[in-house]
Amino acid sequence: MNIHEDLKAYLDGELDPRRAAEVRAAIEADPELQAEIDMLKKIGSSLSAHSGGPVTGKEAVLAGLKQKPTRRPRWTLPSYQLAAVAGCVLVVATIFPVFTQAKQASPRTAALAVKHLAEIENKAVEKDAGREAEAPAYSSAELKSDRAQGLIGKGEERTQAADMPVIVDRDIIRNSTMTLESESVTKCLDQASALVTSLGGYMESKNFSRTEDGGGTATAVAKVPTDQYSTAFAKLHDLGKVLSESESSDDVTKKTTALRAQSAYLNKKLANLQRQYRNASRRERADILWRIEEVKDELGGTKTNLKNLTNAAAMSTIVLTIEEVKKVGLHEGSDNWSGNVVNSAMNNFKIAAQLLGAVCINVLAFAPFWLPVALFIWWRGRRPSASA
Amino acid sequence: MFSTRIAIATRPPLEALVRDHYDSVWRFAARRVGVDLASDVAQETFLTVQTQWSRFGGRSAVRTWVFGIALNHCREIGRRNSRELLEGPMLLEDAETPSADLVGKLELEQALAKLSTEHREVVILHELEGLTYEEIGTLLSVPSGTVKSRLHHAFVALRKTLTSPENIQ
Repeated sequence: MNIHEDLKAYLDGELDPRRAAEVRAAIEADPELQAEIDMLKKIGSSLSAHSGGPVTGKEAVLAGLKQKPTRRPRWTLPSYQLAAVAGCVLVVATIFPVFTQAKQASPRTAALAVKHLAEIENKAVEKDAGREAEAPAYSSAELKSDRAQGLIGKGEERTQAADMPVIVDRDIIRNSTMTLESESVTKCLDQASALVTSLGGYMESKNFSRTEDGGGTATAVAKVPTDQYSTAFAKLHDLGKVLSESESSDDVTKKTTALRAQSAYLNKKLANLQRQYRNASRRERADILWRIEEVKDELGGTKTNLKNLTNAAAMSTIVLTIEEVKKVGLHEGSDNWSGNVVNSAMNNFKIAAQLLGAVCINVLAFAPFWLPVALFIWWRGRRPSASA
Repeated sequence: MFSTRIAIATRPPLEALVRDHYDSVWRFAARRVGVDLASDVAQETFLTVQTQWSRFGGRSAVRTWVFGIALNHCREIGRRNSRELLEGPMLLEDAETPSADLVGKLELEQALAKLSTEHREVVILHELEGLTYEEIGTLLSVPSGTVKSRLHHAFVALRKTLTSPENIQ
């Protein structure tokens, strides 16, 4: 074995006694090995000279130990198994109520919002009357539950109600259809487009088609601002002869107010959850974060529904059908009057032939009924002459 | 089971453990991840020691066990910071030891920096932290003979670097 490889271990006292004796003898006999030992000692001493240095954070760790004394576990053998079971129970116990609560959150908040709709409307009436309205207070069991969880604080329900929108204008979705007759369909359609555009609306769709008899039909869907709806509807009458018209309206004020109230409620709940999250411990944060995501989802859906309804209420729809005035007489298409006459005659002949054919078929079809009767009458008519 | 019970019975109080080993753990961390993160590593190490203290079975020396935890935390921090381990200053400033050393600190730093990671690791653990060959072997999961061999080759390399003409000048 190479003696040089054991010099360092010899110096560190890591060799067994027999090998250490061998190395010691070799060093004493060889000045070169002695010099090598001296060099190793020198390097080792130099390294050790730099092994110290200022240390930080020790007192903080010691203080932490004093604050949190460790306890010996009572269960030593199956502790990890018990911990695993306890962890599972804890997770189920934590997640299940949150899950069920989240599932009930949507109908609960909606019901809560609808419940206060009447109160808000009353508040609006009182405001209109110039009286100071007092905001309604939440009293539902669900709200109590939220208050117990700290999601809605004391007095916040009144603030929430005060934040809710006061109903002044109603949200009404208006739809109407109108059929016009005009000398020129295209001209009438252009006039209708110009009218709708001038009132701040737009043509959602336009369609024109030419019929077989040379006439034309146009269909257009016009969107006009609800406050200009009456004007638009009246002016469209002037563009032609009105053949038919119908109007329908859907008051969605209750729905939009309920959605606004729900949105305000969810915003408040979200803010409280976020405040709870900032003050929560690490273990509680996962649950709170999950609930925050649920509330955010619900809030997003509510806002989308509200936006769709308010957009629909802001613009009314008029479905316009324009038909061309039908022209009668031979002067119509006078360039081809002879052809029209021939066509008409052929059509009449075709109708007569069809009628004759139908009669023949019926006669044959009912032959079992009338033929015996006819034969009997014929036989009775011949018998006297035979006897005579 | 019996030896474990003995080990538990004879284990030192946690506070004494911190007093005995905090400095060496901090220096060990400082050499691996830098002085800035050394306190974090040391605190995390003793936090782990505190939580895992009841599970320590006494199969190795307490110091080796503590250094093993510190080594894992250093590796974790190295991964988290996407940096090479052993990048801290290998030779720390010692207020009690003046710079009138046998070999200059700068030369030693340069010589250590030229070592491979495996060689530098055993030099630090043995020469600077005072761990035995067996403790280092347990810590690094290598036989004691490998530790001896690495240390020998590390010192040969250090000697070669420190006695090179530019260092002598």
